[in-house]
Amino acid sequence: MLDFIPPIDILLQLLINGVLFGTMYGIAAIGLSLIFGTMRIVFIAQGTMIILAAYGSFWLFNLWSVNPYVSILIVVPASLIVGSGLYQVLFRKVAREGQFPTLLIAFGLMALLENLMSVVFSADARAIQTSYAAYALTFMGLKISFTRLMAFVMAVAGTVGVAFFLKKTLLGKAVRAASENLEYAMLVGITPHMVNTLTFAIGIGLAGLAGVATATAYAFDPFSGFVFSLKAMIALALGGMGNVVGALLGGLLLGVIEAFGAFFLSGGWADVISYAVFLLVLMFKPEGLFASGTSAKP
Amino acid sequence: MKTMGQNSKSKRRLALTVVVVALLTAVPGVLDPETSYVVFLLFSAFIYVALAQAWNLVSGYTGQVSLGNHAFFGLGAYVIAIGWSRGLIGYLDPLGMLLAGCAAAILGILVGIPLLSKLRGDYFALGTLGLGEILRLVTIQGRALTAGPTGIFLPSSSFTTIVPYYFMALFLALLATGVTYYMVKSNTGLALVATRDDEAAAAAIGINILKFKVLAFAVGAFLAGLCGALQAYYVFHVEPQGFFSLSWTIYPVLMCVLGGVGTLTGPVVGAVFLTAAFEVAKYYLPEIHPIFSGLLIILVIMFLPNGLVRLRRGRIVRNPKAA
Amino acid sequence: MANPLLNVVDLNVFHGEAQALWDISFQIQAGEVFAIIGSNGAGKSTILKTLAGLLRPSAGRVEFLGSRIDGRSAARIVDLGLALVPEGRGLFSGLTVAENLELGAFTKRARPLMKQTMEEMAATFQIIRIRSDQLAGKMSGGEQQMLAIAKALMSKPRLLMLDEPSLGLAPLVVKTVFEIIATLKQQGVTILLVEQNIHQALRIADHACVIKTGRITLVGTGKELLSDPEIHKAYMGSLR
Repeated sequence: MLDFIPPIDILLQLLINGVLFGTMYGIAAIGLSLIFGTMRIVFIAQGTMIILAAYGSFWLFNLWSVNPYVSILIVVPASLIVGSGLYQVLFRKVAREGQFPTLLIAFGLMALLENLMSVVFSADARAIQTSYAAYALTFMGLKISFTRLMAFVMAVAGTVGVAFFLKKTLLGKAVRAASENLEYAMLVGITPHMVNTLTFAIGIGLAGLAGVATATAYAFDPFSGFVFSLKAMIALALGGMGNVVGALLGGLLLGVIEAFGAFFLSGGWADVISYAVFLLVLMFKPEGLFASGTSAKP
Repeated sequence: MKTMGQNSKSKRRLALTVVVVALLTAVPGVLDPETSYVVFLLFSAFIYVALAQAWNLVSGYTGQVSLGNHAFFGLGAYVIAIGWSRGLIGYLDPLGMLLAGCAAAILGILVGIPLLSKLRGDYFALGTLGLGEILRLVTIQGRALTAGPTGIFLPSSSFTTIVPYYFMALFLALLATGVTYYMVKSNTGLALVATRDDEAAAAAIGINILKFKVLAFAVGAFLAGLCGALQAYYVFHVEPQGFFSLSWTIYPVLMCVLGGVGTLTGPVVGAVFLTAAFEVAKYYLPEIHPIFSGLLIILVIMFLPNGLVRLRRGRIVRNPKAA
Repeated sequence: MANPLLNVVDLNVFHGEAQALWDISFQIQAGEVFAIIGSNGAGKSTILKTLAGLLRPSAGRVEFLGSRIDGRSAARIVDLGLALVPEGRGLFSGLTVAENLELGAFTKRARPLMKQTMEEMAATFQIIRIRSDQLAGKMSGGEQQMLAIAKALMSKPRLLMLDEPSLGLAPLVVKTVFEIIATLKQQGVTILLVEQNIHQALRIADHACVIKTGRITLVGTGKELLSDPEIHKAYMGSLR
């Protein structure tokens, strides 16, 4: 199987596919990273929130013919509100109790949403069928799907937006400060609830963006979220916790690994490889491949 | 005075345990095991008690949140399925089950040493989570050995009665509880519990943390492997999706939290209570019971984060450092 | 005597189930330097953490500017004007010098004045002028201590609490730190200083108390305690 080296254009095509799909992991990983950074919550329901947002975009298109790219204007603000609501209702009281409880709530939320969606929306796989869904750009003999390219653009825009917020605004700096040392942050007047509400809103807001991107470019069903979360965690481990750009790069790397793995082996083994890489990175470079020494660099 | 008080308390507890076990032993004799739902309910509760106790030993007492119980559970089940379908071991074969447990324990040691020596709590949780996923994917890809995604069908004609399952599960529950009790009461265990929140202090007073953690992790894996083995004998169809389901980790964790993490009776109380609750939900809300389970998890954590056992004692000690 | 700026009455604090402070009472007047001295683990930091709102007292009260602040949140307390430079300096090492200072002025009261205060700090502390884009974690111990004090001053405090500002610093740097404390005192900043460097602390303090296993054992002016034979025997002999 491995005794031939495919032509360079196939390798490039694999690289592009991997990068385009990897951005989905990356943007999910950024949300996880923010939530983990400030609250030490492993928010395993992140992928399911992405799927929920994908359904939002899907139904807006199917019921009211809202263009999926316009639906960003509805889905992302709604996700921000849902995110802060999730924190206030589910995590505010429990956040101080430590890890088992928050992890379990996130799992409970995932189970609840997955099954709720499969009852309400049915368990069928969905994808938004626009007139341009199958359109592909051709560039130097390489095919680039328009919707996937747009998904990539959205992910990069989201990353840049979050990085800008963290780096340039006082609230963003407060979030970084709180994820570095909560007690010190409290001493300058930052309240944990404010930072937590903010990071949850942004984290779920990014899930909203990723959801729209998913709905336009890929097929999904109510139970796709869990694997999404796991992949986001792998991306996070590759990129380093609490590192926004690193998380995106981790996602891209994972996407590329999977694309090549699926080509050279079979689809199932590609996943095994990504988990193996995950374990190896956790064991030998737990600070991530793109970490730069400091913990809260954007 | 104080030691005498504790002594009589532990004697009373022992007596209570003996009475409860005696009653449980009598159940299949009193109720008709062929028709009674209670026997089945207790059988599943016992498996969950053992799984919850296995997690409790690793995470409740040593403070390492493991999310890989389902990996060991599934591995145990596959050892039985592969061995039995090839005639290497028999039906309800104790040696086969021991083999399943040992396979899980060996995997636990192999994975535990690098993970536990390198990783802090959060990363350990993620690493163990990945382990279950790897095993699930490997069994899907395992072709002839694991029969891929359809899984291995076992000769279900061997089934005659639930009674041996009932006693095996009861034995597993007692074994898991006893082992946990024994390990926690050992010198290392006591010291580790005393310094659970402060690794530096534990290391400073000369505890070989890694050795104990790996041991606890391996024993937890062994117990989970045994549970998976018994479940394989009961279901007669071992497939990746069901046996490497994260539920086999999360439900026991939930049971521990509901009952009280880091207590000996907590997981028992939690497992019995939740098994009953889930079964009732399955019976009355067959369509939406997974939704109910998710909701129940959230409600339990929000309103009973310290567990029933501690609630009864009325002493809730929170970590004052946490914000 | 005028109303004290800070009035601590019968403070009792627990760490989990162990009592860390017993009936701590003292007063600080506006404009003075008050020192709390004692050996490691005596409970000095616990007092500061309780005053700053990080720990809750089980009994007793803390009055600041005449109103009770015990049980209030840390954020509210720093907004009222009680700033703490904690043990370990409280800097965000992954953030730059300028970012640390900006966050120092995070409170509602200090935020509108941020620019102006920043300029004042740049005038007082040289390092801030030349190193504003450097990561706080990459600076030397002495520089970090200066930055930590400047960061606390950004909140426009009415009372500045310093937890062992000389810890881990070279003698020459310690001297600079105490010079800065003296300058701040001259500028009229009220300071609560916790120190193991007893000699230096008592020389600069108007009033001081000695704390031993969670209880106040001696109170007096800095001079009185400096010449107290008990203190000489217990602390100074071993130190220098």
